[in-house]
Amino acid sequence: MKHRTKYGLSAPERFRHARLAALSAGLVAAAGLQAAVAAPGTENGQWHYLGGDSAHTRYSPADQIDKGSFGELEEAWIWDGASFNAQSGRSTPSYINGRLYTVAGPRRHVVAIDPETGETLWSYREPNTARWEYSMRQDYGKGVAYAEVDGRDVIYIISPAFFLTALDAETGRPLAGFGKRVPIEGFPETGVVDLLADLGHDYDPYEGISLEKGYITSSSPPIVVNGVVVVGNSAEQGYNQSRIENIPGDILGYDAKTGEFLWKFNVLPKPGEFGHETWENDAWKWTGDISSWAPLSADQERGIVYIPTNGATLDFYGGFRPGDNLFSTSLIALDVKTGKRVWHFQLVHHDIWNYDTPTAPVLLDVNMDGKEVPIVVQVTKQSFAYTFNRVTGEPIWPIEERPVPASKMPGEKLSKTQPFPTKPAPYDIQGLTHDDLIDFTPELRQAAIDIISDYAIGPLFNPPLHRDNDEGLKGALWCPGDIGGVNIDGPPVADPESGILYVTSRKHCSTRVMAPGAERDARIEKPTGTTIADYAVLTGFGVRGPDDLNLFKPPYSRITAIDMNTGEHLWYIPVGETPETVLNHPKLEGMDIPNTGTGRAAPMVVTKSLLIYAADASDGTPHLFAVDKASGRQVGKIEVPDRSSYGMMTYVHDGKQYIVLQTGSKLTTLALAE
Amino acid sequence: MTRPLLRSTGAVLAVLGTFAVTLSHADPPTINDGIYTEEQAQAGEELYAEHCLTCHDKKYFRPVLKAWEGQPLGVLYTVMSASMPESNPGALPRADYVDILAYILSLSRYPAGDAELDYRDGVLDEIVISGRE
Repeated sequence: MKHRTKYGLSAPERFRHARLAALSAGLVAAAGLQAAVAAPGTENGQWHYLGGDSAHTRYSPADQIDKGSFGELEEAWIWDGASFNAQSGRSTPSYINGRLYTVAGPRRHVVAIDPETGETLWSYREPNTARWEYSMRQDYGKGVAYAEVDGRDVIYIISPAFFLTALDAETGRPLAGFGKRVPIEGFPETGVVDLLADLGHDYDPYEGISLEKGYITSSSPPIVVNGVVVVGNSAEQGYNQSRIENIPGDILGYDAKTGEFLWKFNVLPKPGEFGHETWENDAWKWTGDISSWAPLSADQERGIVYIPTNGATLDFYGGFRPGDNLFSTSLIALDVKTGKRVWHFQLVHHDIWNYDTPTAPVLLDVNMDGKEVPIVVQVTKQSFAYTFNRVTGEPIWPIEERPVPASKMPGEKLSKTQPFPTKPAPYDIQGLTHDDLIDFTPELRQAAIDIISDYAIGPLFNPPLHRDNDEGLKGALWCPGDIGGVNIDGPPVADPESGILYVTSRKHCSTRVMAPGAERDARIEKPTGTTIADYAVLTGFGVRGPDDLNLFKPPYSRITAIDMNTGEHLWYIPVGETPETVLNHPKLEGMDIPNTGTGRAAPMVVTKSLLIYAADASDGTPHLFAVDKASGRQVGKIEVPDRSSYGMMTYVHDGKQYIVLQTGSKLTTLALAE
Repeated sequence: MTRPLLRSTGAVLAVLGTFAVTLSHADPPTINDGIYTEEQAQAGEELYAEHCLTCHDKKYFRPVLKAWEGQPLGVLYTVMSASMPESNPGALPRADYVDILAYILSLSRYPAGDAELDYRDGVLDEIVISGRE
């Protein structure tokens, strides 16, 4: 079905028009670009969303940096956010009409940067509030949102204190005519919306919501879709919670021009709302989280926004909230005009594994049996790529409810089944058997078996086990762990021309000491809620392998190419190179060790001709690797100034292509030598 | 379910827990006793900047050490060495984690001493995390 837009063009038609416009402007030839059939956002060397386009493909049609020129890359400039106290490097900049925009540091300064020199052009700082002071994800800002309003470029951010601010992109000044006056000294007269005002909880503009009631902030920016600013949110990490009360991370919609409140979608359904019956024990009345901390994606043409959600309060124990707990750990499609649910799919029922969705959903138009099919794919910690028709919500390939183990923790009632996609195949470890363990030598295999003998192991969805259990075990060891599979530090990328998805993942299993909640509560300085859960995480840790080696068989981390037209894996490669600590390990002397990969996820971008990713070489020095997109064969490798994580972007400015690496407090930018 | 068990109860349990540990260990070494060397802390500073700083600023561990008062230092080491850095858990040699631990102690102004901190032979399990004297 072809979808008509308000301009009377279908999506493919609009893309074709965009391509013609670009060609006529002569920009394509100047920058070595070729337009692609992609979602809006990266035409002509732009990068409008933190994921490049609103489909979050992190794809650019730019092609000045190709296989032949890759080796000529050199440092162009470095922007240092140290003066903003920046540390995390989570923010992927946007390049919009000749400027870069990003956020930096715990104040989440909004910064405009000259894309040619790295000079700071302007910055905006939100005035202090008590609700900022106790905010728990201050330096974790992931970027900005953008829209054109009445011919003017506007930048939007959500702050750690949970205000939405709109700034004139030219000047950095708060947008006139947007929002309502905030009754706090120092706040601008315009340009700001207090998001707490529309959630429906008691709050004080300066102090925020009381911690006894819960906590809400945001690390991702909003996304602007057809004139509506869609606002997600974050909670305190579920593994840092010990009490059962919290507020739900409801989704909010605002007018992009005026800041007028348009709608709220309840992620925890109230009586009479769809999914309410999935909350037993009246937990809907007092618990929450279900935040959408990963970035949001959007189908601009159809006016649908895609929202990945977190689990409900708490991680690893949900005995107080029996039921499937919609819309936790779900993918939700909302009509951006009304905020109404178009469809949803719960990826994990009654999630107690911290299997929150860590990266934005990726949108592609693929070819199946000669038909163009609009899909959305959500990669996950549990190593499944859940794939749906993004209009109807129908799984592209069957997703089966299969039996999973029951919990042995007192009071915990898990779902008897979980959804298992039948295709694509998992891209990394699921469940744990002895066959997954290191096998360089029989002695190392046995040592690894001995190490895990203290833990309950099992298949995917092996549940946590409490301390002082009847089995005499330290706990359960479940795989993937909550930092296995895909996580925030390695967002997937995709090529909209070929329909290939590139997923970076890490082999990891988790164990947690589950103790009476009061033990953990006593160690939390500012807990949220009032009622201590029967169980909570006392400490969290993985399990070290034998002799300072990895517990598992390699690869420790990998990139998997999946053809989303067919659901088939095309190839996989280890991330980077085998560390010298492995190559030179005394117990492996004389052995031919394959490339193990570094164990780290790979920040990536995909361009017209290359998949580019960052990783360490064997000696630990940071490098950028270029890979042939079709085969996975390495076609280039250069040393870069610093190690990067969380993402990467590319843009074309004045005919020159740049690559930006997120290197801690800095942005490290590369371009071809003059 | 034991609703409601209030915050004050948690605080009481914390105090009792700490008191019990204090009573059961007459004179165990604590992190106040100069249990690491300056050289270890210096080596740990570089490692901290490379592997830890993106998530944990230099003030991060002050409240953590306070919350863990009364517990063996070995528990903190075990958590660190098996689950950190989050981007590649357990990837560093064990000795590197000890150096990072030394730097963390120095950040909170616990004194250095003459003897190197060692992860072997259960040494870390004998040292108690305590408030700064």
